[in-house]
Amino acid sequence: MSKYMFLFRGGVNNQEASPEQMQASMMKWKVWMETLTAKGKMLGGEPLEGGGRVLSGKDKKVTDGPFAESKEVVGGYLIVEAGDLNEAAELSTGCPIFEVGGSVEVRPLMSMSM
Amino acid sequence: MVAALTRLFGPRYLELAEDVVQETLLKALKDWPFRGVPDQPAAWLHRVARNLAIDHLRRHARGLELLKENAALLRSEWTLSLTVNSTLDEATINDDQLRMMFACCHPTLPAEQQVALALKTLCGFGVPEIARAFLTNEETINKRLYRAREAFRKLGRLDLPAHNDLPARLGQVLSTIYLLFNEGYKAARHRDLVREDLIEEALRLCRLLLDNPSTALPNVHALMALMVYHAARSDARVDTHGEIILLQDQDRSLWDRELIALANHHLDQASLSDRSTSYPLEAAIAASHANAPTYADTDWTGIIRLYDELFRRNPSPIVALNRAIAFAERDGADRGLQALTLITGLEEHHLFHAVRGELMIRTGDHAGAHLALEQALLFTDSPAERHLLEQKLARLTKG
Repeated sequence: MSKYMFLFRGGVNNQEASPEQMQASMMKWKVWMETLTAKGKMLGGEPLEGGGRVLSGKDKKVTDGPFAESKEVVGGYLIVEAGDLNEAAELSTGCPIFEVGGSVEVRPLMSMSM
Repeated sequence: MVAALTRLFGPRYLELAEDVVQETLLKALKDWPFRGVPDQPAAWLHRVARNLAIDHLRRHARGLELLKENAALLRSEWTLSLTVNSTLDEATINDDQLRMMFACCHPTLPAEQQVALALKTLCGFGVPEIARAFLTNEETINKRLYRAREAFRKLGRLDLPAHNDLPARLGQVLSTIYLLFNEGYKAARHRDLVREDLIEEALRLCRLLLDNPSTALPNVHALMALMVYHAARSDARVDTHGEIILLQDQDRSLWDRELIALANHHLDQASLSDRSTSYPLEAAIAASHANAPTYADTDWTGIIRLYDELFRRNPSPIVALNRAIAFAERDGADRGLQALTLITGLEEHHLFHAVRGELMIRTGDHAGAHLALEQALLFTDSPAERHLLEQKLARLTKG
């Protein structure tokens, strides 16, 4: 078993969604995560707020952001356990983000052996 | 609420669940006197408890050994509050109470701990109330609860017993409910509110079992019938001074006809041929009394037959004593006294001597009755019972 990270990008714009839509969407996420939990695959993860700060360059220049197109902003992550990358990718297919035009990036966590 | 929270945190954290409820009530005590009682107090309490549970999990979830089934969900903001909401949802509470009931009545716990735990977690009684209900001190109850919680922790998770185990486990739950009821009923004459609560809670818990298809079994109907027959007659059992009135002297117009009808309805769904408990037979006997228009019209032959059957299954001297009383009513006091001579094991029981005394009065053996009533007095501390015996003795001496 190895660990994989799901990076969620894009999807519904929370500011434009009605409370009912929000609620319905969160229920879908919960149901999906319950399935992952019941299979013993879910290890953890958190949703992210839209804005923040970006520090960059040698002088650690601070800007508000990220202001990239909302399609590209990371909205949250999950860590799951899976046998291989194929299984991990398969697990991500149930994610409700696809219904609203978002994407999931599946990345194996690196095992650092020195 | 404790039951639902225990389902959320796991049985290991029963005390945490109790703390959350406690804190919720404290908030209400602080808040309501100033802002007034909210329109929907139950919903208010529910919301506050939910928020406290979420706060606690947000801060401490990683340090808790949560249940496998929800640990990951409670540790992530993705799912934390929705999982707490759905677990605490009103709809799941009854089911949780049911699970909790089976857990409280777990065969590994002694009966006295089961009852204390049930009162604390299912009925929301405080330690002082439980101590009062069982005529003991708070320290004893605290000890029982402590030991029960220790045992509870080892259970792992709250599950309804598997189908095969259900009858045995249900038997345990029913006897705890009946114990609760009897504790309340025995002393209902005290007009003590705690005692009346015990009766209400016993009925409520039994109803909870009947509301769930997997536990709405004939024996549960039988116990419900039995308790409701007793409850229907409770107002006629004591006079205005709190003294006991015997069945033959009770004003039957005080019996609650609606409750008797309800009990009849439950008895119809019980099974008299079920041999696993004595509730169906006991309920059938109570039904004979409750449905008889007068004491003289009681179907004593039917009652004797039921006692015969009861005695075959459970040859206890108390059953034999009640059977002897039925004989006396049908065939006369001599026949009753004759049946009494066959009973052993009640030499130190006040009821045995009291019945013997009463029957001797009827046969005219006043000296014998005097001795028997005096003996009965030796074996009871209950003020009401003593008063009843002393009255009889006084009448004997006068007459």
